[in-house]
Amino acid sequence: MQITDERDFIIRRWSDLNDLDWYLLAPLLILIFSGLFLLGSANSGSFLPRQLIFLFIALFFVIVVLFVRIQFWQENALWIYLFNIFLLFIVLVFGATSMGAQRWIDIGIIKIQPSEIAKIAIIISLAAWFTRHPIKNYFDIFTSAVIVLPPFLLIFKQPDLGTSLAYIAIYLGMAFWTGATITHLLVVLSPVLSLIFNASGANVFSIGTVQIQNKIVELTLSHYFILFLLFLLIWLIVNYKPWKSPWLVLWLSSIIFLNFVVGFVRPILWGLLHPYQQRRLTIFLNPESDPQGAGYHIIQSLLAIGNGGFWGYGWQHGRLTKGNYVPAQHTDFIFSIAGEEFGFIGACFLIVIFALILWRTLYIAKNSNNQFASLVSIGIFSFFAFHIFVNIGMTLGIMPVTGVPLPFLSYGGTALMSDLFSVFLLLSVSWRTLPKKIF
Amino acid sequence: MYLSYKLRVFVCQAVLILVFILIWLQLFNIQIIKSGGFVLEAKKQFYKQLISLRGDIRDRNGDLLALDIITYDLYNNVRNLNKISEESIDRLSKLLNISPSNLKVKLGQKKDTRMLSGISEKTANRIRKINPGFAYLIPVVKRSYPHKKMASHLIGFVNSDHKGQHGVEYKHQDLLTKISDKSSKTELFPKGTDIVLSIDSQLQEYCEEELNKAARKSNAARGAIIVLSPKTGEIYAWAVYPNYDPNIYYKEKVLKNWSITDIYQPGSTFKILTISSALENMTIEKTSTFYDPGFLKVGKRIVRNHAKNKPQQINLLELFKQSSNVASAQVGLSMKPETFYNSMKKIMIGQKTNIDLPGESEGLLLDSSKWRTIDLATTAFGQGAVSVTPIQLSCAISAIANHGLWFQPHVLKGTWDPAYMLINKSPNQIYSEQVISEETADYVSGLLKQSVKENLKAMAYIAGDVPGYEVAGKTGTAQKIRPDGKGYWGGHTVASFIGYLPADDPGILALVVIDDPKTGGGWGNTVCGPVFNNIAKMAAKRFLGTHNSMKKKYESKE
Repeated sequence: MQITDERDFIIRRWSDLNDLDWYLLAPLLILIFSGLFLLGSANSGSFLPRQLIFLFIALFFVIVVLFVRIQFWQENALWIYLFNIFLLFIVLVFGATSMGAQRWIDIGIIKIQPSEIAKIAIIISLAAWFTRHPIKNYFDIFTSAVIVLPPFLLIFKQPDLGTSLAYIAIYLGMAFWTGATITHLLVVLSPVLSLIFNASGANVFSIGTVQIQNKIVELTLSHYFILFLLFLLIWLIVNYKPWKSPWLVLWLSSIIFLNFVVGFVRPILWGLLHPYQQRRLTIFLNPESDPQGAGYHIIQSLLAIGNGGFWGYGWQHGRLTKGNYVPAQHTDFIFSIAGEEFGFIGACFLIVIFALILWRTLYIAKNSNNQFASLVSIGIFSFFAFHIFVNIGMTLGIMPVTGVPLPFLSYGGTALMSDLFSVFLLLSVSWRTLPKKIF
Repeated sequence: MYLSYKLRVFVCQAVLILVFILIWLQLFNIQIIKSGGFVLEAKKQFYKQLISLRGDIRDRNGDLLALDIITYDLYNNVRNLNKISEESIDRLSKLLNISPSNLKVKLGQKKDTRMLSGISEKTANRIRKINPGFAYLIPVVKRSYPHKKMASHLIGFVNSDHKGQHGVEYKHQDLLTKISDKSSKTELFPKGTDIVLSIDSQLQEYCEEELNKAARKSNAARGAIIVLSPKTGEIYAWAVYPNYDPNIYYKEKVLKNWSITDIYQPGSTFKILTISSALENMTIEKTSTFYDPGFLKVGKRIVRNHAKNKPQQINLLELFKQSSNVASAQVGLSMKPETFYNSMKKIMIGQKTNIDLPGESEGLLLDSSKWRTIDLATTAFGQGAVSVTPIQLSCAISAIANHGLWFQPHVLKGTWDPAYMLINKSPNQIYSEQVISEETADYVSGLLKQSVKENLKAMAYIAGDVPGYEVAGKTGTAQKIRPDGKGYWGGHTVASFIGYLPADDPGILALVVIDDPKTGGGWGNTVCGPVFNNIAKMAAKRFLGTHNSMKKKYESKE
């Protein structure tokens, strides 16, 4: 990642199309075709033709991206960001409600989901910000976090837990890339971690007991909480030498205070979540406790994938998926179709394709000669990695069910659009900012 | 801890690799290592979805009252149309009694459709032997009630989703659909738990016949008979008129089990409870006498007896014998409203009995603060502030019969063990409570026994004539409340008789209620008496024979 003058950017024309990054494009095309195949097998019939229409519309728009200069995005980052916030506000006020969440804007023919568009907007605006203000100290990390906060809250309110968590993933990835140390990230994450420790102490894991002087003391959530704070303090002392700085003391105390606040606010926040969200967040630890209710998704998905075995049942012959046991099989649980109909072989094939795309994305981020382009790439990397891991992990029962779609495979026009947009942005980055000799 | 650029790239790569290894490992675990288990689970799920049988319902002697029958539907298979051969069509048409040409038309349909339904297991096996690839069988489960109308109100029925509606089918749904591990592993169609009811089919059938006869003869709107055991609370027979056939419940008009859902004013049968509670609260004594001039003025209202009589001084025995409203009113007036109300509550009037049947009504017992003086007088003979369900009254009286010990009525006797043909104990706990002192209960029982005996001798009673047994009982003829709720409806009555035998240590209690009879003057004695006698004889034959011999055994041991 050498920071170069913008004039060094390679200008691209139609005739240069054969220079496109085929290491990225080939797996992408394979993935899109697999996605259409899987949708063709999903139970509810009318999704495939609609997804095809979405695909053509999206491709038409997205090819334009190839011919837009990288600087364009950087220069207009503020406008993109503001427009995105505006869209999210419209959803908040006029949004169409479906399945208990207000996520869509209905414009007659189609419904668009601004939270998907927001991912790209956040990536571009964060990249623009970090290019100018790379993270150097604790203060920087908080100012940059302020950029993510408004869209995060607006989408959390919809409610769309999965997508709002994706923003955190994007933010962490980009901040790390731009120079945040692990301590920095830990400090930002510490309220979240405290939240998790606190919550898990309260009602997820069974807490152990400790014997102190013949007395059995049960560890409660507050114990966990204090243990974590101690750990954090030691970490900070070890890693930060200039103790004289009064600012640091202030920061540390405010962070500790924040952690405490989180501990007290946690029950209230938890209460703010809808009961279905609460159950989905905790049910993956023990889906059998409610096989017909909150655990149903996970159990059926596991059964379908396990049922597939090594070879699978063959295209359109999945028993649990065709029998309509697996819910949301055209969107969030599309990986179950792959697992049941194409077996271990097919699932591994998909995983390899995903891995190739992510690896290439990382490669582009690493080798791009432009800071902004590199940051955009790593943002897209975090976005894909989060979605892929959470979605596949969810179908395999190792992640909570949060309603995160699988990129390129799940049905959904806006999601497909933003996924394709991201990849074409990557292609553009690779096309323009990768030194020629690498190819 | 600042990481160099190279190190950061390395961290990203490491995280990526770790995450994918984790996913791959889990995939390997599910699809290779544990796959067999998941395949089995999935198969089980299909079967479960396809068919699971409800348990059978049997009566106390093991007689089947309800069972699931599997029949098969024959479908044509569009995918294998090319497998149709003349020979197999011939054989199939002979087996199914359809002409080959007709069968061909049915097989040629463009979608998989049901061609025939209700094919028995035997025929289905023959079809399987022919093994036509172009048609397949799908099992269908149907609930069957071999006794048709018998005990329909008690058993209930299942709807088209095979879910229980009404009666035991609804109330014990969980038990009937609770599939044991053994059954789900060994049987093709796993079956729920079989249950045994406390009713006796023969007595039940007899009671229904008698009730229908009496109700039709007197052109009554409805009627009910409850036979139960005061010693355990078990229901021996539960006849409700009109009843229905659960096999074709969707064609029937009246599905209401009014013995628990509806209330009526009990009339004179309620005097048993009035006297008991007055004795219990010591507002009257066993030797008390009452002046009965045939009428009693309470405020502006006048309480009258059923029949005119000369002014006389009567004791408690005469009160029951003549069924004197005036004397009962005086007993009622001797108590405070709260005292009377609390005693009634204690004996479970105005409260659910928690019988294991759905839709039970609480009955109606006006709060004591709302009682006027006239209510105290009229409630004493079962009009006024009280309305009961037949089951409520039966249980309250059975507490008097059973030395003051009240038992929660129930129809579930236990579960059936098909392997050993045994009845296992019911999983439900039966609630019981001493609601009235043994002394009072036995004294009132004695009065009832004596009054029936003397009335029979004087030919004033028809009811209670059961040869070989001493019966304690009371007739009831209540005036009906007008349908609009304003006052009483002249000439319309609810006739009833409640009695138990043997009077000293009863094994059977029976209540006969006939609502709005148009013959026999609408009297409890004339309308319900003969019915009671017949069913009591039958019940005694079914239950008391063993009971007496048992008793003798115990006595000889002592």
